Amino acid sequence: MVQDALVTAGGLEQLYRDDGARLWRALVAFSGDRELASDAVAEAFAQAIGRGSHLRDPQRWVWRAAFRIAAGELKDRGRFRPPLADPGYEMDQPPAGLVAGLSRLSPNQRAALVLHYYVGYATKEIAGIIGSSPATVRVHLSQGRKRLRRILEEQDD
Amino acid sequence: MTDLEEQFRTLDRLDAPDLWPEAQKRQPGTRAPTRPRHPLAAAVLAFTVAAAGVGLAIWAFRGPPPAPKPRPAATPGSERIAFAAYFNGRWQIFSVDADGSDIAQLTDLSTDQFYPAWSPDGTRIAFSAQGGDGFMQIWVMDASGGDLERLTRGRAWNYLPQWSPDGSRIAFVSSRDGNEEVFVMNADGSEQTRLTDDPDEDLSPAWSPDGDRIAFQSNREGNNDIYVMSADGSQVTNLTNTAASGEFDPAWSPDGTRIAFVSDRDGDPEIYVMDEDGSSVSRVTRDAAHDRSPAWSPDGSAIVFESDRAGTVGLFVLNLDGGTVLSLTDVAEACCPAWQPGVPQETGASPGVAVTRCTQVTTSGDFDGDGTTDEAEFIEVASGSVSCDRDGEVFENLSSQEVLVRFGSGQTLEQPFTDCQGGLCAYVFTATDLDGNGRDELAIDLTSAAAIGLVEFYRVDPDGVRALVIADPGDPPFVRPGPAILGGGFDSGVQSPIVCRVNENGSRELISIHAENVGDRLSGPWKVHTTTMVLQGDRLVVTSTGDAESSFPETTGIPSFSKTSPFENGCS
Repeated sequence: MVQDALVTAGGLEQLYRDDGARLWRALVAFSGDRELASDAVAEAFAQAIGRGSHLRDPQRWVWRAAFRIAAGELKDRGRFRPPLADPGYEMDQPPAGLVAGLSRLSPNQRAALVLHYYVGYATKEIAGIIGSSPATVRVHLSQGRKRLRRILEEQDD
Repeated sequence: MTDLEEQFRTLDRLDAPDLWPEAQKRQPGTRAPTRPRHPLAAAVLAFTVAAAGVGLAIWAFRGPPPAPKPRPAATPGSERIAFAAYFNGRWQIFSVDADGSDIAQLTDLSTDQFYPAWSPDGTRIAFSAQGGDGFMQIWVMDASGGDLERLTRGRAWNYLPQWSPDGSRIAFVSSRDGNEEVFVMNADGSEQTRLTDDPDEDLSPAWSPDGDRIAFQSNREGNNDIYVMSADGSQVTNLTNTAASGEFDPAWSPDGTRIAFVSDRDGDPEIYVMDEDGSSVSRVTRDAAHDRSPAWSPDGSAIVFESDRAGTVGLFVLNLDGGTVLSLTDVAEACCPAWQPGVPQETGASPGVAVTRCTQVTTSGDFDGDGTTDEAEFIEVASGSVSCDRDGEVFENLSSQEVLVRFGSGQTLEQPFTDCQGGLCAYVFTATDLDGNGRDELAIDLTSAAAIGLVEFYRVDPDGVRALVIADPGDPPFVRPGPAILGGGFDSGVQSPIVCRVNENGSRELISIHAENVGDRLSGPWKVHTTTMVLQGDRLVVTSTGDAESSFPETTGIPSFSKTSPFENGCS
């Protein structure tokens, strides 16, 4: 237990160093909002720190908590905020088209695609993060992929 | 063709801020609606730490209890369980006897097949097949995989079929109007009608056994909840109504009184059961793995579900009578099981097999509030003739656990207790009036191999013992997830005493203490986490949490707490 406590204290910071930037970018893609992504990441890690050694799988917990927090905030705002509404977002950056395309998908499709294509999670891990079943995630992925491709190709035209 | 992976890699060009300093200093929950910090929090902490430091009886430290021995799953009839499994690079439909024998592959198609659903007479199986165009369509076949017939067509996803109890119709999910909605069609595929119409996703329809209602999952209020509607799509009601957790995969019990579903409200997806009106929610699986897709046995005594508890996603059977879980198959990747309807089988011990009932611990209180004393017993049931030594704990051949309450009014309640999952249990078994309303609640320690010192609270009514609900984060008043959430699953190995404090104004608070060694020696320093709760109706609402370090200056070893008097002050 002593070892657990020591590992945990430094472990969360290491988890942040390993995953923090990737998580933040994934949340920007999911929400279209850098501020919201920052808030969700900080809140998820703050909650993880508060839980200390009681998290069975800190990495899975933090990802899940951050996506839940972001999804809840989006819901409170009444849907996805397009990147243009975020003054801190530079629209000439390449991800802008992707983020705009993602904004036209359902939240679950968006989360599934970001977690799969950007983060590299398998369907089972995605299911744990967005609170769904692997079989349903496979459907979100397949459907979302098809729609996003079409949207991005329309942007290119 | 757009390369999606390349598109997503452009996200790496975004400069991410360093949020670690903000996370460290941030008070969790500051974004959410908060409730003023409880004014008594500091006093409570001082009191509880003093109580712990002065009045501690040694709780003999035991190692993790031995893992429960498996017992047979619910007595299976001749029914089979259909499921999808990943085999030879594709998902196909299989079936297996309910005892895990005689596995058979039913489909051998070039694309993925999912979501088998039995017709009510058990002769046909509807399922979802992915076509060459990428869309899923609903097909039906006979129970051996023959006589294939396609029911849906078009450039949309049609999947998750569920047969109506009279066999005349099939409910399913379709994306034909742009997002997932619940539809219904005749069993031959004709007259396809939309039942739900919402911009969010409605999934996983499940008929009530009388055919009058359909339960389904929807994220129409921002996160997945279980809803129920009339079979014509009217009168939609949210049964679970949780803001901070996901609920999905509803399955109606064969007698129509209960609905099994999946919720991640306690951190990871577990199987829960509630009454068909959404009340009396109880968790029936308890494992760090992801448990999903429950399906009832025809006699309602067992639930088959998918879980990754063995590493890969496989199928398991939960016996609701004893709480035991057994692996159904050793198929590496399997999902979405469906239990063939059949004639209910007699369950229970085989004739001639002796059963021993050992009373492990007793307590008394006034659970129904009628002014008379009620006696409660925690009973362990073992197969064969075993001795009831060691305070009635059964270490061998444990088959099930029960709570028996003899009410002062003369009524008797005997109920299987499955929350211990067959493990040793009830080191704490105490009656206490948490809210001072004259009715005692029952505290039971759910110690298991996975977690030590979990105490959960139960309301005891003449018709049943039900777990009190811990309020969800986001529920008013706001609950901040903390290290010592009652029953939350901490696993550091140090006991968490529960103290009940009666304030001068007569209000009562429940205080959970959890000590964590943050030093490099057994003597500490220790960090003491406290969580203060009040009981509001059937919900335990957390009002404050707090931490204090180095609170055991006189302690030379692991601080221990009283087993016999967890309620130090007033509520007992």
